[in-house]
Amino acid sequence: MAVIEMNRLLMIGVEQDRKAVLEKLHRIGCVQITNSDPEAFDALIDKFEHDKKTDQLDGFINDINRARNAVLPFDQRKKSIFEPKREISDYDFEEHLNREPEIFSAVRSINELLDQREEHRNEENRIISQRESLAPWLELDVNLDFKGTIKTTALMGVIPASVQPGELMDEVNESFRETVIQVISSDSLQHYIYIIAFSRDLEGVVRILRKHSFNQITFKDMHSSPLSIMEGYDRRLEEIKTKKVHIENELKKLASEIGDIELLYDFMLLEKQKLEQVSLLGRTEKTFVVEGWIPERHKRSLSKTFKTHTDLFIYFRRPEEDEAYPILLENGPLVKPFELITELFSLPNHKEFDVNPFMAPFYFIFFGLMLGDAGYGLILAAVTGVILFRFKITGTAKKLISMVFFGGISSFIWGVLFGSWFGDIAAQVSNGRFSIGPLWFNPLDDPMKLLIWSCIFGVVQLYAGMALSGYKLWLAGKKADAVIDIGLRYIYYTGLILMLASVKGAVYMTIFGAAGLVLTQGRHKRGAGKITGGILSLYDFVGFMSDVLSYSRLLALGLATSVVASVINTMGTLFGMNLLGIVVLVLVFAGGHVFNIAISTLGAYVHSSRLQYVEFFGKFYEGGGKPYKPFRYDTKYMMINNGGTNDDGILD
Amino acid sequence: MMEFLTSGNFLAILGAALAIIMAGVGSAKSVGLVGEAANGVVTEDPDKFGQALLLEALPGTQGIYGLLTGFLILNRIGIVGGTPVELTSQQGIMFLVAALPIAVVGLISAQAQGRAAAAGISLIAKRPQELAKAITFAAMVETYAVLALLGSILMVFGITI
Repeated sequence: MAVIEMNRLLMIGVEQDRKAVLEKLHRIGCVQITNSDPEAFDALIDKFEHDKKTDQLDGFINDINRARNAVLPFDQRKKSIFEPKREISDYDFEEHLNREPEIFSAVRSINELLDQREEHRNEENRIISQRESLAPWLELDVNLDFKGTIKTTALMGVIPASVQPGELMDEVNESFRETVIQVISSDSLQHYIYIIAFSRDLEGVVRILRKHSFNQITFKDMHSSPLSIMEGYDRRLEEIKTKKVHIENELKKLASEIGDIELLYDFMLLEKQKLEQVSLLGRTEKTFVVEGWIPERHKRSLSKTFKTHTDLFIYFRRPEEDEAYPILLENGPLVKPFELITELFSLPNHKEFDVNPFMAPFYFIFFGLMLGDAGYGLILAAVTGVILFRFKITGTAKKLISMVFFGGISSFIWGVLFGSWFGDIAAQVSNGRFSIGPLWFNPLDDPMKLLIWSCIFGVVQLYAGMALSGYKLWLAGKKADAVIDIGLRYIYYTGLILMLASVKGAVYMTIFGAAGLVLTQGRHKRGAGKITGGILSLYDFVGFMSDVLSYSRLLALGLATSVVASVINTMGTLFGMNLLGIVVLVLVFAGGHVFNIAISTLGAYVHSSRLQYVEFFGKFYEGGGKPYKPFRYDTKYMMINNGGTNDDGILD
Repeated sequence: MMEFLTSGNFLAILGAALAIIMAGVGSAKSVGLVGEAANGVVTEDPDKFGQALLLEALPGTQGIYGLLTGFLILNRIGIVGGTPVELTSQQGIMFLVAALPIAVVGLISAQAQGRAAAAGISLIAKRPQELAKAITFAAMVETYAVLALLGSILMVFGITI
């Protein structure tokens, strides 16, 4: 339960060992490489070459990813929702990579198939849109590139549906008797017409047509009749269809490679990680420098790893006082899940202690109190318990799920104390004949009691926060300040609280505390500030009380859960205990309680977090630490078992 | 008619209705607002659905608080679960007043929280790892809805019938 001690690492080696050293660092995965002066060696690094390699790797990664996603729907492996990374030994990983050329050719074939499929899709779309524009002309049995005879000209076009073709024809024939206008087809918007006129009349004919909003249409690159073109299209569409089926089958066949494709993807990721670290190394022409952070306890395994490298210089030192080292936390299994809450806020900085052991119990209690139902707690704990037990999840997801697991247990305990099992389900279903009584008291009967308890919980946590701020002062060597500032406030606040509870004699305690504060709190100020500073500190109690009242949300959210649950129960039992009633009951219960669990859990999470962040952390916590991110195997699909660090950055 | 309008039971039910209506309207408007913003982000990155949904759910709680207060009132006057009680006009007005904190604060805080949550959506669009901070900002607003709920609940429980 602590912030893990870090050491500064310096390694100097000769250039020809660089690759091997980097590889070994990657493998043991306990060093975060940070260069104190990244620009110092810029001139010596071939930026162009480096960028080229990076781009090439990115290209590979993209290709592999595209291929993997394409065959994923045909993946035959058994899968569950929480698919863990596949475990593989170091040796097997290498073994599989011997097939790299074959895997790569599979990736290439898949990508080629995808390109073809894309082309086919485009062609299909093109044909479909051309078919649409050709459809009205199907009745026309003239080749589309027919422009007319020596003396005549042929035209195709459309006129709006509002124009009567017969009247138009009459109007044209009045001036140009030999002109033929034929309606090929009509739809709700326009008539599709074909016109043959003497070439000498053409200009006049077109002028009349234009008056009636005629639009000429030409088909480029189409030579035969609409019907035969259409038949050609249909044949082509059929062909494409078979080709697509063929592609699909090929993809299905290649899907058997998906395991190795994922493996290759991870390999490329690892290559890229190595490449990224290269730019962090210091270099001269013949040597290289690794600077970084390593947890104190991993020093020995690092030295052991590089035992055979005789011309490698390794040096460790403790961080200097103001040197901000990266933060790695270690906590027991009961506290670990709650690290998530702190991580989401801010990690402790290098001068602070780990706040999690102090925060976790409060979070556990408050989360459960806000959810406050035994049935809901059991369901949450059961669901998350099964997930934790059945699936190997790691990292943040594991913390989150374990946290909800503990929250469920806490909620169960509170639910038993309050007698809330899915609200008042027993009483509702049995029509009041049977109910599960509370072990302590039912907040619905006596909300004031729980309000007072909520405030007491608040006082306890706030006092703990004050104690920690005193502890910080103590650690910083200001022992007198710690005792005076925090101790006197304890006396003053407690006195006032006891006065509120009308305890006799509390007033003397208050006066003692207040006098002490007035005398001491201006001590760092000058002149009149010495007096006003002391008096003003008495007003801190107002801030303290507003913090305490903030804990009333414990009551409000706890009540919200159980009242909404009883609403659901009341609605569910509306139809009585006949067949229809029981069907309604089951449906309303299932839907309603799942909804209430979801919304209440969210509320419990949000508001317990807020109490930690604002009320508790606000008293003493600074945060701002940077997380420890070691250079290690960071893969997407495989868990490579290499004796390196696990997800928490700790050597197995 | 006048007699009916000043009857205790009518006033109490009016209070329950106001709590449910106003807090519900506030929540509906702001859940919608956050939903619009969330659609935009999910268009770009469908993986953000879960995070966006979490933010969208936040301003929805006021509606629940309103329903809860309304239900408690109905429960106390025996309309839901129990035998109906005949209230005096004074008692009715007290129930009506007791409903006001969550009705008014619920309506307004839901909308303010909706805007904070919608801004949180744009925060997670750029920095998905900072979801907790976006939630915390929005949750700060909710404090006042929780306090109003508490006020209403204590009043509803406190009225002697």
